[in-house]
Amino acid sequence: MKPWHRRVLGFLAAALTATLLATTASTQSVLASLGGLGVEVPLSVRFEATVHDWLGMGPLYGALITAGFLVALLTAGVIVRFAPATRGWLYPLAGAVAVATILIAMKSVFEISTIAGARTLAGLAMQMLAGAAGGWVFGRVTRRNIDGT
Amino acid sequence: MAHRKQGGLGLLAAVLLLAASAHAEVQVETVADGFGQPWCIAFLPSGDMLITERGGALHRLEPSGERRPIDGVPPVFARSQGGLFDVLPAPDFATSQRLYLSYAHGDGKANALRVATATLVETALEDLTVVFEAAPLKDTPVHYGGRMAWLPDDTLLVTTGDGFDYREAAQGLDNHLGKTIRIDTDGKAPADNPFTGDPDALDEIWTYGHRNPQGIAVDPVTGHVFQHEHGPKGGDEVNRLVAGNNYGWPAISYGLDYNGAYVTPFVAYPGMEQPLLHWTPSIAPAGLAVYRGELFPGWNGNLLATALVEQSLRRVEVDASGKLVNQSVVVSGLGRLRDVRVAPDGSIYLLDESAGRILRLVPEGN
Repeated sequence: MKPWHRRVLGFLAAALTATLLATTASTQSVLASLGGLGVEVPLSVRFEATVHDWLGMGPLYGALITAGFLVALLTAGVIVRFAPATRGWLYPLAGAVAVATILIAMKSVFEISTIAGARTLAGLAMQMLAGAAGGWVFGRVTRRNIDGT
Repeated sequence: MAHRKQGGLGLLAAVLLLAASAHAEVQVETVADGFGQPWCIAFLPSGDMLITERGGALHRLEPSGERRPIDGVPPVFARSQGGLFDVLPAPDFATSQRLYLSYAHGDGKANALRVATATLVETALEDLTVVFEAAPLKDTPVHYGGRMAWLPDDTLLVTTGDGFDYREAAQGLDNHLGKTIRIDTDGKAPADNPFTGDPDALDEIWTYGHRNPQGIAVDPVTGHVFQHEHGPKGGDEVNRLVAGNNYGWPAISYGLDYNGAYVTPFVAYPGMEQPLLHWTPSIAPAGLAVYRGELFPGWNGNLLATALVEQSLRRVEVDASGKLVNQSVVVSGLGRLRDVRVAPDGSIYLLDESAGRILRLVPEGN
């Protein structure tokens, strides 16, 4: 596979991974909040809600994550080129920072939390972990290309 | 263009026949214009009207068209959805000159819905006293509720919003977010409020499980209390309120979050009330009245709801028991309509916040 093919594939896999995980985390956080209100949420409903939200909020949130990743992973890629030892942690960090930046920027603009699962610090941390997972996927997929192995 | 601005003032200002947007049974007059985001209109026994603007101004408008600003309005937090909301004369206004104001108070980091009472002396408010402040303070400038209505026993109903980020609080009885509040004229909780005596509940709570109620009205004949509230993407609701009931938000809703996700996967749940109707997609209702008057005799007992997004006036027919019968659009295309009230003469007043106009509906040929 040509290097730039691998980069594109890695980028798409990273954005998809982060979007699916971030959406899932938000859904589970919202359902947990309902559980906290005494509402029973059966496992089947949890599954259905997760898939619903992949399709419902996934496209919009995914577009934002993709835009954020474009900046974050490109920047990280430049740094990794000059400091290869950072690649193990820099891509995950870039993914986490990208998602955090998106959420903080939207909160700043709209003055409300547009992703319900990110209203708490724990929720924000889960969203950042989803971003980190996306960054990690990018690092894994592009590893051979960068290492030349 | 049917809804162009009128230059003149006064109740007999030029009449607009809005054939394209209004049903044949009504005609629309422009009473006054030039207001900045008018939010609420109230009628005084003298025939004068009071108009609030979201930015914090209160005006007195005489039937002649003369308009005077009222001094002494408390400072309001006028940002995003915050600002000055309802003005409501006391039941004994004719003798007491007391009125009630609801408004957002505070700043971006800590704000709340407040209700204050004051005496209106010509064009000044005197003896202003805060009688209610929603607890806890919040840091979002949205979802205040802020509509008020009197019950037949002269206690005051006040709607409060969930603050958007704090939607789960609407299900808690330890706070005032997402509730209907019932207080007496001094701000105290009446002893017969539904949660009085419950150590885990605030005494002022009358109903709960609301999102952002933007209309409340009491039918003076039946005593039924109706309310509507904004859903998120879909799920705007009209509810008939009964003391102590839980209206479900955010555990049940016919709407989705703005981002397309579930707020909840449930539209019904045991112990939670269903709305009389829901508007999906949303019309963004703002302002609610129960029609009782002589000019539209066929509409007596109907609910009138104006809408911001749909830019319409809807008429909702309910039966004697308060159940939904039918609904229809009376007028549309008049701008973002923020409030609807029935005047003492039976005509219907609308506030168009887009153009800052006060509109009056009368039967065609009246």
